[in-house]
Amino acid sequence: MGIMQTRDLTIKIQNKDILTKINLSFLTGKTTAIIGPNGSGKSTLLKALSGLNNNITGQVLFENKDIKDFSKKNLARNLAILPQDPSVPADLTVGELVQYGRFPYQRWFSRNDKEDQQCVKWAMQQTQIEEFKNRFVTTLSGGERQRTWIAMALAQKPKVLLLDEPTTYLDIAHQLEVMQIIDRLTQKYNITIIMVLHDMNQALQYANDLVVIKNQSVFAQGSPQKIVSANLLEKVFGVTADFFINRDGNKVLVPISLVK
Amino acid sequence: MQNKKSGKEKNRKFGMSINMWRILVLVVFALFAVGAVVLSLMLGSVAISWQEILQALFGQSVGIHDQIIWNIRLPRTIVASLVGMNLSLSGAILQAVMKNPLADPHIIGISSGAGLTGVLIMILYPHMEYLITPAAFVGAMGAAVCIYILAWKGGIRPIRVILAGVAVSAFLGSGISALMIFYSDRVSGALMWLVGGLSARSWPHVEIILPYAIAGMIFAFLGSRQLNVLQLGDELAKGLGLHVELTRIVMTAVAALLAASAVAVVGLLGFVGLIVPHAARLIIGTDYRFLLPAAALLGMSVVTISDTFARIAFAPIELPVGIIMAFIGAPFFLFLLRREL
Repeated sequence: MGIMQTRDLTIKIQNKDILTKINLSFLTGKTTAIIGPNGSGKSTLLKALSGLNNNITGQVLFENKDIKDFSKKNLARNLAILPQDPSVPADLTVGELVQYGRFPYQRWFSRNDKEDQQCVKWAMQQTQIEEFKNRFVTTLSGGERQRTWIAMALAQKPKVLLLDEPTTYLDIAHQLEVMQIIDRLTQKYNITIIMVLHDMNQALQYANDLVVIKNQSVFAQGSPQKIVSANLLEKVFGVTADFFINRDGNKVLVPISLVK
Repeated sequence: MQNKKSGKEKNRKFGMSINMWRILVLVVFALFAVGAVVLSLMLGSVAISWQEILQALFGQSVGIHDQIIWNIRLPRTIVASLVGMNLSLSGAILQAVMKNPLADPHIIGISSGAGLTGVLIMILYPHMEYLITPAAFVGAMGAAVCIYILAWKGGIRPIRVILAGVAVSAFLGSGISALMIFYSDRVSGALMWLVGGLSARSWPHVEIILPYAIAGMIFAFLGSRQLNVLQLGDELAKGLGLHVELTRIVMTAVAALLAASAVAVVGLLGFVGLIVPHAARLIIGTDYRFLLPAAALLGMSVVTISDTFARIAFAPIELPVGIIMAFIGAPFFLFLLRREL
């Protein structure tokens, strides 16, 4: 049984079907990548999983309980979501931003207690941002900023971390950095990662499980090394690709041409 | 809050950590506000020394000056302070809730609502002058509620509130204009009120505004962390477990009450609700735990000092405080803006 499931999840936005009857199960403590063409509803699915979208029919279950039955704060203690390209006030420091991750644990007058401080410290260590905790977030590079956001989400001490294209806009070194952080979180702390990705090779390399969305529904789910094939790429993206095997024995692909 | 050691501290101001700076600014603002209040009590057609003021406040008689302090200057100064605080807090809250730097009490219809009902009483029922304050309050809240309902569509979106606000304000504004044109012989009193002024404000006005000021201030400060989280954007705020819609509704209501009580007492003071929160933000930053008290103190000082100036500058003629405030405040604000950007 996975930590999260969807049951007949259907989402309409202004009478247009975005997702229809999605039934998925997400593996506990593993990395699941969601992939699909632009506009296929990947981000919508991620938002629905996080409880950000209320206009859904069907169910999203967290540990076999409908997420609608969770209080907002309780849900935030279990699930953390990192939207794409979030905004930040100009004079917020890295340390302060990461502390916001403790918001779901704090009550009206509770200040930063020991536990809060420990969680913030832990989150900053995991993402290696401690050295610039007193800098303004707006002065950071893209990669540093992304790690700061991940740290904020980690300070929530979530069991599931939902990421929307965490490597978009980053150079390859920073992409690698982010993916390695994610890898460590699943392996060392058993945090379940569910993320929308664009880069097929990242999915092949880092995801334990792959969900492919096409035409508002699940086209395939399974180990990326098994299910990603020339056939799948052609049907989902309309692309032909060459496959290679890298030094770890994993599949790597290079897109070659568009199928007409 | 922050550990002081380690790290490249690029955000230091004048060699202080950022929180030290913020606290220092608050202390300076507080001194500024106290100074403004004392000046306001001292200066006027009769100059009173601060020793006399202290004596009078602590119950020792200082003759005729007692009367001036207790019956005229003290209540007026209190009204000025509270009005400044309310409008400025209201603006600061709305700027966060609407995520729009141009948001102010005007945007949720406070000015136009109060303006219409206030002018209506003044022009059509001048003999019932005592109704101006309650009518303005009802008008302000009525307009705010109306805008809320119009903007509601399965929740509140800032952009819809702002657009509904513009439309409703234009609608009500046409009513004000029409009244003033049809009864052009009676507009002089109404004009003064539309600019906003503190002349002849006394204890009854203090009684009207004080409960809202206290309640509004408490709610505003209780909501400061929520307002902070709201700065991160709706999605992230929801992800952190904040009830975004509820926060918006409650904090807008708080802002409406704060502003409506102020406007009801002194008329349509425009400048404070928009500019003062920005000035405070430019100096102290966007953390609402510090910004709200800073805006409150700055609002108090600005209105109190402007009113003092309005009383003495062209004595015995008294200018409406709104004119003074915009005249001095706008250039000062532009100076702050140029320095920061």
